[in-house]
Amino acid sequence: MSEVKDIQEHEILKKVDPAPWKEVPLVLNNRSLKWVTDKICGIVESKTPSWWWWCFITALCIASFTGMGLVYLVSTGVGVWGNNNPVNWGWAIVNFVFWIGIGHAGTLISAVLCLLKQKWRTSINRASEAMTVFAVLCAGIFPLFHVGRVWFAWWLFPLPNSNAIWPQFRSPLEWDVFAVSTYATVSILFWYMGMIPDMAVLRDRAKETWRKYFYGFFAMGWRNANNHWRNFEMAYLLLAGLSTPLVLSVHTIVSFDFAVANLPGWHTTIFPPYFVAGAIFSGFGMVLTLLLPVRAVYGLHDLITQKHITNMCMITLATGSLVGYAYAMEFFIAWYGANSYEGFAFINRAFGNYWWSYWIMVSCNVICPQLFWFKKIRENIPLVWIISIFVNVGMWFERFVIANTTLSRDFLPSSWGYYSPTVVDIFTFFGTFGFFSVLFLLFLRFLPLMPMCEVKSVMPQADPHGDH
Amino acid sequence: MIKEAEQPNLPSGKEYWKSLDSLAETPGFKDWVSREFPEGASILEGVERRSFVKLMAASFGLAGLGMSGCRRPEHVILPYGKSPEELIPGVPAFYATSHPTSRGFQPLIVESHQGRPTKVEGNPSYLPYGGSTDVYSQASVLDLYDPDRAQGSFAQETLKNGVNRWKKVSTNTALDSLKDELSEGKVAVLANRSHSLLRQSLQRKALSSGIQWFEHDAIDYTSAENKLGKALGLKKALRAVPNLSSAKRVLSLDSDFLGNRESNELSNTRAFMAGRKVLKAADAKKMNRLYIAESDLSRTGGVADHRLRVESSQMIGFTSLVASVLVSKLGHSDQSLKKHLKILSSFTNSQKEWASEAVTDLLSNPKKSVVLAGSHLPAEVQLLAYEMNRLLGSIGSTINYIEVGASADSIQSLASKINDGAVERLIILGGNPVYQTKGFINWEDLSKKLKFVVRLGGSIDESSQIANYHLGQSHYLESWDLGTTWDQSSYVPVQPLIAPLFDTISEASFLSYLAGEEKDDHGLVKNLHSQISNGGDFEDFLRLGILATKPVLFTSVDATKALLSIKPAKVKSSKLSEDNLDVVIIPDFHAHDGQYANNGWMQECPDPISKLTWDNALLISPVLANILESKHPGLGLLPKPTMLNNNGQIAPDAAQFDGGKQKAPVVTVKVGDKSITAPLYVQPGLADFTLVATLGHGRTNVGRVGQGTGYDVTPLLSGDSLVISGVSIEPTGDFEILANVQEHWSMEGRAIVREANVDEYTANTGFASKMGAESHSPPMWGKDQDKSLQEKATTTPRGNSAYEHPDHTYEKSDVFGIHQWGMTIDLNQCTGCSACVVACQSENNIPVVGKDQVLRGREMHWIRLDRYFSSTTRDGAEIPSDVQVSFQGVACMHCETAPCETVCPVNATVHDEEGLNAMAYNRCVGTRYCANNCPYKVRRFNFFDWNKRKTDELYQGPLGDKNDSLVDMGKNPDVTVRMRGVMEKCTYCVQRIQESKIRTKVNAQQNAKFKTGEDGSNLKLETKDLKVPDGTIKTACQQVCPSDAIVFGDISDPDSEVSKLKNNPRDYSVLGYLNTRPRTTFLAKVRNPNPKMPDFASSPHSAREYHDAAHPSHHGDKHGAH
Repeated sequence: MSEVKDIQEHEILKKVDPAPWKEVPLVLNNRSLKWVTDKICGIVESKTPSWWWWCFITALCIASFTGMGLVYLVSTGVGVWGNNNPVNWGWAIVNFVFWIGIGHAGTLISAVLCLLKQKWRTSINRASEAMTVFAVLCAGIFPLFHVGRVWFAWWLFPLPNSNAIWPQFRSPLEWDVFAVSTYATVSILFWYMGMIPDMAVLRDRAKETWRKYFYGFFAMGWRNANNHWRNFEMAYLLLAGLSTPLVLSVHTIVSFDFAVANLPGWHTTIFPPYFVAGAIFSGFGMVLTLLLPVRAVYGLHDLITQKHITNMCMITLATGSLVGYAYAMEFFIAWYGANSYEGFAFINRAFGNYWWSYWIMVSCNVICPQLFWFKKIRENIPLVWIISIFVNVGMWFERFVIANTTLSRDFLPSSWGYYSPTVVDIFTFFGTFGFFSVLFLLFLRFLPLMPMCEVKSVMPQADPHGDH
Repeated sequence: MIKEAEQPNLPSGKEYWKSLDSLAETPGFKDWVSREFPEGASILEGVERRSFVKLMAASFGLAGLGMSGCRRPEHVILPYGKSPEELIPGVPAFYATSHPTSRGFQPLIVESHQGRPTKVEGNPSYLPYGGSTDVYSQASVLDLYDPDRAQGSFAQETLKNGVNRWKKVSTNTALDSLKDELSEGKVAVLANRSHSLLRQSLQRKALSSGIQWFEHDAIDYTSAENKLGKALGLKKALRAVPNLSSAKRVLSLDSDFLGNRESNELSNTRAFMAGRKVLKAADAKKMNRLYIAESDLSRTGGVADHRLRVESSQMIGFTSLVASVLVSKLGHSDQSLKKHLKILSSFTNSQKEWASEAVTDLLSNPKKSVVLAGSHLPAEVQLLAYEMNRLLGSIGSTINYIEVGASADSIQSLASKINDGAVERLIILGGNPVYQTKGFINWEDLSKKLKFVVRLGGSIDESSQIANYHLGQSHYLESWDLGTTWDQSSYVPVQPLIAPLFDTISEASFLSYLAGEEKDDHGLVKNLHSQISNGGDFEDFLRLGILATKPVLFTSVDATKALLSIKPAKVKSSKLSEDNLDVVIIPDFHAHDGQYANNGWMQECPDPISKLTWDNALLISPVLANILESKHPGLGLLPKPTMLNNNGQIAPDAAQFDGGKQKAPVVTVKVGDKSITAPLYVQPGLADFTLVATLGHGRTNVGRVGQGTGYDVTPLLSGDSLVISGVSIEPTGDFEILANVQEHWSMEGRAIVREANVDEYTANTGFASKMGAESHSPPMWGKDQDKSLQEKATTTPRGNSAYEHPDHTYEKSDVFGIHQWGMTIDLNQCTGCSACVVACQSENNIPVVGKDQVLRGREMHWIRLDRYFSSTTRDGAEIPSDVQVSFQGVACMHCETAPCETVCPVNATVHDEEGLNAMAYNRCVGTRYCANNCPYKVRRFNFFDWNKRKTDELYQGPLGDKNDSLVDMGKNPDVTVRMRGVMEKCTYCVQRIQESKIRTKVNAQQNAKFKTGEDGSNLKLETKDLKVPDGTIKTACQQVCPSDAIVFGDISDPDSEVSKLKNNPRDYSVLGYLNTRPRTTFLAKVRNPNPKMPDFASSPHSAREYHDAAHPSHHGDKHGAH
């Protein structure tokens, strides 16, 4: 908010004497276009910093937990996890929904905000899309490996085979297969396509041969020609339009895994919007968790400004409140519906044997984000970062609460049980953070973490009507 | 058939034994024999499939020749060029035999697949059992294939370092050395109790040759008859055999006559539960009524209409009270008896009203009422019960007293004879006396005085440890024998279905050797049969499996004199308190008296009342639990009440469940100088100061299955009584983890088991349909609500559903659904005996998962028995003392609109045209979504390769050891053995359905061929000819059920039994409001309480709980205060 730009004077304006239009610039300190290019490309072109190596090796080690956990799982049986008879889905499905939820912010930022012409999205969309792609990859591990016979998991795909049996199209798990694979495909396409002009920049600046070939290959012969730009922008818009319903559909369908089942606490129509809100909530939480350190490490304060952070905090606040509303509405409907099984399911959520997970969820998801009402807190970066982590934790617990409280105590009290994870569960999940970090570190090191062309387009320098 | 002329030299039984010997000459067999026990125990090259099939092929070669027994004489011939008659590969054969138990011989029909016995069924020719069996007979087939059996005979030798070990010897060698010792004299036999006539006759011969005979059974079912005989001054014993089919009122004095604590379980259950069959309002008026006064909550107590908690040690007083009331109400002429009974009953101060009303009710049904006394109770109670039955006129109508031989000398007199030197050589025949009597017999000292001990037993156990030789005993499915049923109304044969798998010897062969006869056991049985049947046809006997006889009925005598001699001092018992407790020792549900401790099916079958598997616990009452909890804070016996408990949302658990695992505090139980440690378990329904301990667990020399299960109660035994007084308990501070398959005992007011009293039922026979959420919702079937069951089943009208699913119509399907399968389970008939659970396990190759996996909630039973308690009042977090018990067998319901089917992404669970919810194991990838979405939670997932891996090495995956292949021989070849990663569940025994359908079709084809003279594809078969007649198919659970609670059949046939039952107004669907349209429905339970009784409630407790939950506004603000 340091600079206020005077507007052109018009006759009418003199008469009405309006207050000056204060537009907060999206790139601070009046940086030049070249600075942006140097800054972003510099991250990729400079020598690999040692902290990167330390982080990378640590992440790789953590990722190996997932690898080992999965080898043990496949060779021995699902029994190495904590699942049991009433609770047939344990952490695996919780983790799947958690990661898929995180994957939502990327597409929302790049597609929905693009269509809504939210210019502030430009400096964060690339990293968010990368986060989306990696989160979806992490998410995909769980539904694939949670099945009893992984080697037959391909039966879920509608491939013509010698058994002449098709998948069952009425199953929400089948819908998941399509929803998640579509989402993954479109997200990767969108992410990659948006990177093409930046790849070309990197190619042009490259000095080492491998870089020339590497970026040259992925730049797909980009020449900055006008028709390239025209096609690019049209394609970008089309993909944005295509992805926008996906933001809503993926988590809607993931919520069907629960809502289509007939169990008390699962069988509710509120799930689709509630899950989508929760997904966006957790996605923004994760974007904040990731970008705040990146901003600090690479000194990107001029590009990721307080305005970005404030906006993200506000979206988090809004979606967090939506989620809180959904929690309350679930209770109301359970009471209003007068179904004793349903009523008990919710009382049990809050006060039953998993009460602690419910209250972790409520405090992280509903209470924590309310702090973002305060400007002081929004501008306190370390605090924002901590709250964003709470959001992530809370959203994991939300899925845990939904999956486990319902399954552990459903219709017949004789079958009530309890679920606790095993070491294998915990390590396999923990390992996915390593896997995610490995991918994200590689992204930071080798790919442009912001769309330079788009950032430039929202800078005053790019405005032909501007003073400059 | 191979003609007799072609095989002129048939081998006799003698040669048969020789042929086994000659088999033993082969180098492969010798090599195997040379391996030492126990290493050899787990390696069974001897019975690999190939050599096994060879062996069996040889025996089939002689099918139909000579002996008609199912074990044909063996003779090695060339492999058959043509298949012999009677043997159709893939088609099982059935043979009549029986299971010798301490509760009499249980008549059986055993299914055999290519020579391997796989499944045990009851012999329907024995009418009192009606083709049912108890849970132990079902499980007994597993013992045949137990890798921990004594696989031959062994000699105990001491190594230089002082370590004892078992060296394998041939049985003949062992017998030879026994022969040398026998000639030295001073020989005694210590045997378990038996009902074998063959043993009796051989025993007589042995006695005449100077061998002394002693018997012992820790759970002695004959003790009551001996006590009664003695009390009446008879030389014989007097066995009470109830005939409950005509009984209208039963008063049980601590007698679990429907359970495993009494001997006549099956016929009692069958007869008594038939008197509770209610199909219309008129039946309800004729329904029988059961009063029980007991200390433990037995299965019988679960069925009872009125239940009074009385400590077993107070039972003489209570019985006197009942007798006193009876005598005075009858207007008995003998004033001295009246006065004496009054004195005796004066020690019991309470329950007078209960006893008085119960007796009035008994008297109002003359000759149709009966008093039954528990066999563990003292002679006084037996005598009083006898006299009451006599006065009620019950003898000869509802109860018979039959004269039986008195039992042989006791183990105590054997011990004193060994100490005196009168016995120097001991033969231990079956049983496990050393384990069972270590509380009162010092075997360490005795064994030093014994010069030679031989043990004949199925496995090397505690009793083998004092023996020089252990002779492997053949399983009953490998032996010949002949015995009587408990009621002595029938002779039944034991005939082998398979040659002994190992170098073992049957009891009969061994005894004949002992008697110096050396006859083969088949010959002995044949001889004995010709004696008892006056030359009847032996083969007919074997075919039918039964020969009727008449028990010697006792002409009743007045017992007044004997009653007058009861001394008041015997009745007077000290007041019980938390420092002066009773322990009642009962047979363990799993291990019985210890003999099934190594049987995985029994160990994993949940105890019907406590729902514990793999363990026993010391049961204590909620009252005592509260006292203990206040005396020892932090004991952890009762869970801390949660908010949901305190505000009455849900009942508290009866135990602390830590992560689903029951955490039980361990206590030291002290009586005199004896003590044991045991984990506690709070059991609603127990008498306040009674501890219930079970015998048969905590064995030290047992196989891999029974190792480390439960605690051992035998050190407390005194040899006199199974009720021990003056007991105190002290917490040790330790905890044990128990594997309980049901964590929650309350139904929580949900309309799951629907119950009504007789009056409510007669006023409103359709009460069950007025309960549950479906009674408030629009009809499931929409406009088709009033269509007949048959129409609904065959067309499945859409109702309110938008889906076209499923389709059973003839026109649209390429496979016609000629039948529509369905099942009803009559909740009024179930006693919770759990035989269905094990029968299903045996029929369907259901794996045993072990305690660790049960703790993780991964037991695999396809049918489970849910046990709910409901209480008079529920006060927040309190565990009730007086409860009603409701059992419900739950298996896959085969829903017409099955929630599991729509969620399976790969179409692995689908509906077939006959209404079965089929499970395609091959197609299953294991997403487990179906199991989540099943509202009844009946689907079971193979979390590990249960069948392939040893239970203790599951977590080692491919590095773990494989299971013993011996067990595989017992698998049913008609049912797939499932691998890990797939879901499984009840199939309605689809293999039995298919078999019957095929047989019906073959018959129809043959008929058509005869009629038309044509033979080919142009044969036309009519639908009605392809219909399997009602009653042909019995599911495994149905077949075993003694009270016929389960009925299976075609619901598209309006005349089938199942259709009729489904049209009964008592019929309802559990969770019907979900519109799952289950094909298994339940018939609501009807209780028959006496309105005059002090504990009368106008509605069953569970029904009251339901109404409180469903209409909370109707009972004001007082939560739970009713």
